[in-house]
Amino acid sequence: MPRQLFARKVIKTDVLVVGGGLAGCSAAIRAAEKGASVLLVDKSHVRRSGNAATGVDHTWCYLPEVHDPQGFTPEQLVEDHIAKMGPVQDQDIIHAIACNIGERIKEMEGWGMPFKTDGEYRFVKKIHRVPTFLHWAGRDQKVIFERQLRKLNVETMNRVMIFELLKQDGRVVGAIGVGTREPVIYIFIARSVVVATGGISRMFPAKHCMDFNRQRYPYGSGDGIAMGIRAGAEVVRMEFFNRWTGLAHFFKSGRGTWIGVLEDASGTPLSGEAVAGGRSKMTTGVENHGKINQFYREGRGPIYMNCGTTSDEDFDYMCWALSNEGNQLLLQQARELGIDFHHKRIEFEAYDAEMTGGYCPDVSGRTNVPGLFAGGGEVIGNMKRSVSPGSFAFGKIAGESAAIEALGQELADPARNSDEIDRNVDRLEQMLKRSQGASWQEASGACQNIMGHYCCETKYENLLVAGQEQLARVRRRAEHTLAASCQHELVRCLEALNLMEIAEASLTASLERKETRQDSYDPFRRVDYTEENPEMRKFLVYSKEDGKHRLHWRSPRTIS
Amino acid sequence: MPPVIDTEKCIGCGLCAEICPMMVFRHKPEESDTPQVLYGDECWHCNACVLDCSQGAIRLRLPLPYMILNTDAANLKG
Ligand SMILES: Cc1cc2nc3c(=O)[nH]c(=O)nc-3n(C[C@H](O)[C@H](O)[C@H](O)COP(=O)(O)OP(=O)(O)OC[C@H]3O[C@@H](n4cnc5c(N)ncnc54)[C@H](O)[C@@H]3O)c2cc1C
Ligand code: SF4
Ligand code: SF4
Repeated sequence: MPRQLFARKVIKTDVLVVGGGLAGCSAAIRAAEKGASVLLVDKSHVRRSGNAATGVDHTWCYLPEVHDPQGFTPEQLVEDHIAKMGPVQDQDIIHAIACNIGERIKEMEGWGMPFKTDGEYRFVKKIHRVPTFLHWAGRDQKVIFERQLRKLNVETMNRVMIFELLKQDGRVVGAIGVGTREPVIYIFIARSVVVATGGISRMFPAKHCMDFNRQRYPYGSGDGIAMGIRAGAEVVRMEFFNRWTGLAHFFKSGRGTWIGVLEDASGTPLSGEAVAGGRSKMTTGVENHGKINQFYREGRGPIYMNCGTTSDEDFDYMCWALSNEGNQLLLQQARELGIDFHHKRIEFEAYDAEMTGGYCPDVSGRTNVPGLFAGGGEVIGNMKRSVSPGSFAFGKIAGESAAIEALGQELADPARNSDEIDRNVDRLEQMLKRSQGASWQEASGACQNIMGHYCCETKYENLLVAGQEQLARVRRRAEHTLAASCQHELVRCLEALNLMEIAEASLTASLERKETRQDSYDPFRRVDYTEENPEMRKFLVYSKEDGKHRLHWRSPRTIS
Repeated sequence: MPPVIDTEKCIGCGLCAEICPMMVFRHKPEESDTPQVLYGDECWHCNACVLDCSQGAIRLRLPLPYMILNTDAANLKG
């Protein structure tokens, strides 16, 4: 008998939460408060994992004590969100977040989250008609979440990557995970499962050739979305991508925090306004990546951020905000290199393409697959820019629903999944045993090249079909040749295969959306269908059944 | 290799290796007190290790392709 490379462990719980970012922590805490036994599993370490590792500095919200006196309502927030981010979003989800986020902020304040600065809430106006963006010192919010998890005795397992969901009779009953450092296979059996693995990073080629120089958390390879697709879950907006804009070369979020004027090389402001708008207006210029790219193409680059007209007070405020949004290194580098942002212009550019699609749960977080919930935040595709408020509020909603669901369910017997588990373990062992073969870098590079070449700015039928064929070939080959010399590489191999699952969904959905759409947030261009098709102002729902693609159109839900 | 650990300051607590959101470090106390920077090119430059190291022993070195382009502000107004 060949030597077993992996130890195996079976672990049972009421609610399994996959991913311990803001949404997963929110879900786990809520499920525990509802009395369920909860296991939170993260492939990194909850103290600093996820997009909010070292901070999120603004959280849009509806805070009754601030917004009621202004006559602003959650319904108006939904209206504004739709007006700004486009009509194809489930309004009931935005509404649920708007109605819950206020209470959530109060609750988290009780745990020590510093939502107030100098004794008051700092709000700025952005995408809604009144100031709704709460600016706060969110640098250590993950540390506070970790403390709260401990306080509630929520069992947490770090450095385990979950890579497959387990089903029985059409229902999700658990998942399989693998240690990212130790050679252990974990078989999780649960009464309900919440997926909160965040968004999809590293799907397109890195613009400046450094694969981990990404605006988004590069460890997020859409695992939860990919394994959901394999388990029959419906996903939406897989055909879309967007680009953020920000500091050139060193890709970091935080664009929204700059107070200054975007201008071209000759000093002409892009928006026509030459004076920084102050903290209520933040950047004065063009947030739209398409426009920034166009300026570069027209010979007006480099595009610069100029903070020269920003007042001292606003400049200090900007640095405070940046330091709370994961940009401490940027500020420190600038100090060390003697780059004074206040008196220098620094280059800005449009970032890598990034996918924005994901699950499309109902308003309680329930997906179409029984037993499976999507934990808010980045993992859902049926609203745009749900970001931190989505994670805080909708993560909690999904956790509560999963806890309630768990009450009425029996724990499954993993013996019924033993063939599937053996097959998966065997696959992983093969990768570890191959002494020669394709590296994970080759696999993820091949996938990124396909997406960049066949499924990015320019899309049309022949190109997309060729992309599908090429992807299928690469994927088959990868499955049989990937080689990993340790757990670290094994995890990266599984991530690359997950990226391929998502690439397949993206190519297939892009082929079906036969139109061109000029939305500023996530435009969609088909060279062979240059007009907008009003019939397609809907979600294109993608799923897979027995390896076959299923697509259908569905109208966005309104507030119920 | 982006994070650089000052071995004089490091007390070998292993926290940086435990919490790095990527998997940049490896800490095997039986081999060496100071964690090894094993996968430096997978660093996200999030600064978590710098923030959490109680000894101030970690510094991040920004790779060459990440250098910020800056020029004097041409049109400073007052
Ligand atoms: C630098 C930066 C600044 C930002 N600033 C703001 C801001 O100011 N305001 C705002 O609202 N939003 C901001 N965002 C976005 C915001 O951080 C995210 O929307 C939010 O953190 C998403 O939370 P999440 O829990 O859905 O996903 P994530 O934070 O990505 O968490 C996902 C978790 O799942 C884990 N995981 C992934 N795959 C697996 C697997 N296979 N098995 C087990 N675990 C897994 C990951 O390790 C991670 O912990 C910013 C993002 C970045 C990168
Ligand atoms: S956290 Fe600091 S002191 Fe602890 S092992 Fe890392 S470098 Fe050394
Ligand atoms: S900066 Fe972040 S990703 Fe890089 S080594 Fe430190 S903790 Fe890890």
